[in-house]
Amino acid sequence: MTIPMNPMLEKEIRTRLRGARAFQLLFAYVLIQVLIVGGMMMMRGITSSDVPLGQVGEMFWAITFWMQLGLVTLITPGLTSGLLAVEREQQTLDTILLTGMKPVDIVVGKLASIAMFIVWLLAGSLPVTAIVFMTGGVAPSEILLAYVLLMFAAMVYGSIGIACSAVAKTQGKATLLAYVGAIITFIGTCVPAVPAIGMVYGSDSQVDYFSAINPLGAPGAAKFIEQYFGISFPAWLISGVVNVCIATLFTLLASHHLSGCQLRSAALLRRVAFGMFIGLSALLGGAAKLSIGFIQLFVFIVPILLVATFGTGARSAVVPKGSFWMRLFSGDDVVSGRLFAVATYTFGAVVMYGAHIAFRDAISYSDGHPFEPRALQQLLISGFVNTVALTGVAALTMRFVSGRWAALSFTVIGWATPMFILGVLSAFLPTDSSSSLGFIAQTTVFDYSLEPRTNHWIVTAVAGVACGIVAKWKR
Amino acid sequence: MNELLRIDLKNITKRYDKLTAVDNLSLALGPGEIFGFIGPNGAGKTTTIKILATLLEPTTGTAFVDGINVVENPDAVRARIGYMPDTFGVYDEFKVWEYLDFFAAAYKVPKGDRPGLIDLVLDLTNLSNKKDAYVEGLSRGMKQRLCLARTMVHNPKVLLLDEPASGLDPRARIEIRDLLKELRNLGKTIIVSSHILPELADFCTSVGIIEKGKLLVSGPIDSLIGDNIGARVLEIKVPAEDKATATKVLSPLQGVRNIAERGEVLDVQFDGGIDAQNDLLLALINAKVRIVSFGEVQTDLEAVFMNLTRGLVA
Repeated sequence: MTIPMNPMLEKEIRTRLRGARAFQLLFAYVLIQVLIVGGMMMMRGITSSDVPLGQVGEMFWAITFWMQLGLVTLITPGLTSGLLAVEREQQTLDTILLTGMKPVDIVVGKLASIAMFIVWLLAGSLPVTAIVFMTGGVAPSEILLAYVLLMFAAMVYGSIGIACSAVAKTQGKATLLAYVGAIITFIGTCVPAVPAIGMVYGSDSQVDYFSAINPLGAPGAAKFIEQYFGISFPAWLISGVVNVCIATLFTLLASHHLSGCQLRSAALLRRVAFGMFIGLSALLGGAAKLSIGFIQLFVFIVPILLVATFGTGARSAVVPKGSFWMRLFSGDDVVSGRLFAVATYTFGAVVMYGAHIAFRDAISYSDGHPFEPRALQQLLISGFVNTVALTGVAALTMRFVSGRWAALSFTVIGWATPMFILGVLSAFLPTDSSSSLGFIAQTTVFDYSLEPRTNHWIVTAVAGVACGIVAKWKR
Repeated sequence: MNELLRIDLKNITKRYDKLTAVDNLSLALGPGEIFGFIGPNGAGKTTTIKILATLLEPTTGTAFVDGINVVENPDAVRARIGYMPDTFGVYDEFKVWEYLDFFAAAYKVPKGDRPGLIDLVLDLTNLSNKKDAYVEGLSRGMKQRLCLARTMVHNPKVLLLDEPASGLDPRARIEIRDLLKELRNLGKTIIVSSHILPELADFCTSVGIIEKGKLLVSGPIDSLIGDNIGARVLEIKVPAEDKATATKVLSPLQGVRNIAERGEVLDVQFDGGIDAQNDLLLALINAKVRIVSFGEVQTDLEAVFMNLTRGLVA
């Protein structure tokens, strides 16, 4: 039986393993590890102290794993950022596209070859890791799991690399972009991994959410349990899902650019990014504990929306007809495309805000641990009302400005201005009764009480609808 | 729409911001035709070919390959064309047969059929003895032939070859030419572009001359040369003292466009058939011009080309 093989994968494997290059890299990879590990073995402090041997094993395992993580993080973007750029520079890209091979097959085939190459490198270094079994203290299942998590992370870095490769004109630019992207991702994902790293060192901190998306915490990840919506999940499962999502997004981005930024794939990219954004935000909103807080959400999840709004290519302002979510309002294609960009961001802000409120409520109700269903209700209502408001503001903004960045900043201003006015009003108007204007203004902006924020919702919704009407009327 | 047409371009225009690369170009080709696309660099040849290859969308106009609209159904068109770009790349780390195998696989040729197919196209392109050689080690001419072999792995009906013979030495050029003749015999419709005329003249069934995006003229080579468009040049040798008389006689005659002196010879640009030439000669003799020799300069494609593009290039 023959399995139908992706021709691109076959080609890449064939050429990658040809000659001495690949084996030189493997040799260098193992050599670096052997040198570092050997150095560590010679350090007396580790082997001759009173520390139990099992703990020495754990430390040793963590350090060898981190070394692998470092190497994989450094190697993967470099390998993938050249994949498409080199075809473009060799002028072979058109020829391949004309064979009728789907862009997504080309990208996936190339990525799969790199993934196999990384697995090959990791397998080559297993003998070094196996020293852990002499000291004990680490279960084989933990090692296996950590390697799986490392592969998930490698997929993320690799897909970022290939996306850069598809977007950039030259190989040099692609490589630079890929490393910048990989470094930002690495640092961005470090934050949720902090407690996990602590646990490797035996601290009794608790993991909160997405603790293994950066494999820094992977050496001990098999033990972690995270709670979402009051249900327990193993940390590796959640992190695997998140990483696969991100890798999928960037793979789609790469194939979208490869296919010449066509409308159909632009719409798909936007839908996937948007769905992913909402899904991940909701997951975070339902996490038992968000000790890092609000800002981390922006750092970590908002970039997904950047892909949707700015990654869709030269024709990103144009959206398919008849696709309501993409258009939001009828009108010419360009306007609705910009509107999409604005609405995406504002909706993002709303979900973030809702997640924040949900988190606060969860803490207030139950000391921060189990998930409180009422928080979800808050999130939904607040999300809906704010969407109405911001869509209105966005529609109004679109009447006056053009360009995505301009539209975005104007929307933010449009959102912040009423807040500011309400804040000022609340300082001057009487706030003695719950029906007085000053009180309503105050609670709209500053209310952190646990009562349903009816005032806030009414004011926001009315403002949004008003903006929408003005926008329509101006037209 | 004519079912028999392999290539049908209808009023194709491609505009970039200000530049009009292709201007209202129409073209129809049937099976077994080799169309030579001639024009200086930047005339719009590559743009036209890329539109047919589904790599560019025309600004206006419609293009059909084998009856299929290239904009509406690019995938079906791609399966029917073999495209060789003017600047093509090959994978150096590949062996010749691996290179072809990769493309055959990409074109979804079943695995079992590939070895026979590869042998076939290698045989056709005269590369059989290089089957196991690395692409890196091939000469430029061989690479070009390999690239041609690659365009045929999926047995396309239409071949679009953009400057297939550029940068080749004369021998390699002749080899490419023989190959194209062979392909014509296989009934393929081929578009070959070139900025060098003699390259195309002897195997194209028809040619088109493009200049600044406009197709100035197209049709079978014979009719193109015979047509009045390319005015004949009559070479009339007369003694120096009779030149003035001859010029005086010739100037008012119908069909005489231009008279140029070249040493003892008068070059007369003349629109007209054999009969008109007879009359012209008779007129000269009647005027007692002593004619040493009288003949028609063999006009070829080059002359047609120069004649047509003269005003535009300058």
